[in-house]
Amino acid sequence: MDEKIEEVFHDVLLLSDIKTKEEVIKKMSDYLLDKGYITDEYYLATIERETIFPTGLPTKPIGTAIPHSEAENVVKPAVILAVLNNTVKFSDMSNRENEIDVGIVFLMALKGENNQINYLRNIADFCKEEENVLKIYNSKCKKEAMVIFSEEILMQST
Amino acid sequence: MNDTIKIVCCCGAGICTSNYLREEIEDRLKAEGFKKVKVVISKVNDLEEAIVGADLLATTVELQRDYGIPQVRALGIMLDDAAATEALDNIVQILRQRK
Repeated sequence: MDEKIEEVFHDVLLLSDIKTKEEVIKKMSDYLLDKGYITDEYYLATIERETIFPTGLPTKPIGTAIPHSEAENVVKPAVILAVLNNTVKFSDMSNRENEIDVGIVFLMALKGENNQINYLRNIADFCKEEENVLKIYNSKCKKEAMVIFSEEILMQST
Repeated sequence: MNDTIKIVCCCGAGICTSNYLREEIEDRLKAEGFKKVKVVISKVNDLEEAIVGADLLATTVELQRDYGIPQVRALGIMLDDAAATEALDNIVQILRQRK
């Protein structure tokens, strides 16, 4: 058995002129697919899941979404962040009739419960604060967003 | 009789919101003094199997059916502190009435 705890890959993408949630998820999935973190099925499985169990979070002033699919589509765990220069519609996690304008997307390719960090808790805690949402949404460059992502979201003490 | 409380947390993929919920429940039950508690996570499609022997089902998504055990809907708990408190209060109340 492999005793080593698998490290989770993190990265940030700044995306421009995205029109739909499918397009964001596609870009992010393709990025991870290229690097060998997910299987071919990940994209469609995530879109399908998004339809049945939406992942939009009504954070203020800009919505956040956390699309993901089941563990079987994940080769190596990764969590990547995309900051859009506009917003796209995602359905609200707690009420699918409600559409949210999302500008921040965390794509999670995780393998299940043996994760060291509870990503969602860190993300939700961070994005509860309007100033945090704005700070990440207004990142000027990949490096700036990456610093916020790794130092303020992922490293939060729980 | 098994005196360990078993709680199943469920969401669409069994990875994200269920895991979040699990931590919230574990923290709260610990604070309330519950000792033997086992919280497992499950995706909706695996619920049949996961709920065997469970005392309570907590879900972050709408479920289409009843699983024959108390069910607590914990929708929107990630951003809404009031909803989170309400769901957790509800869980504590159900567990206190157990037996």
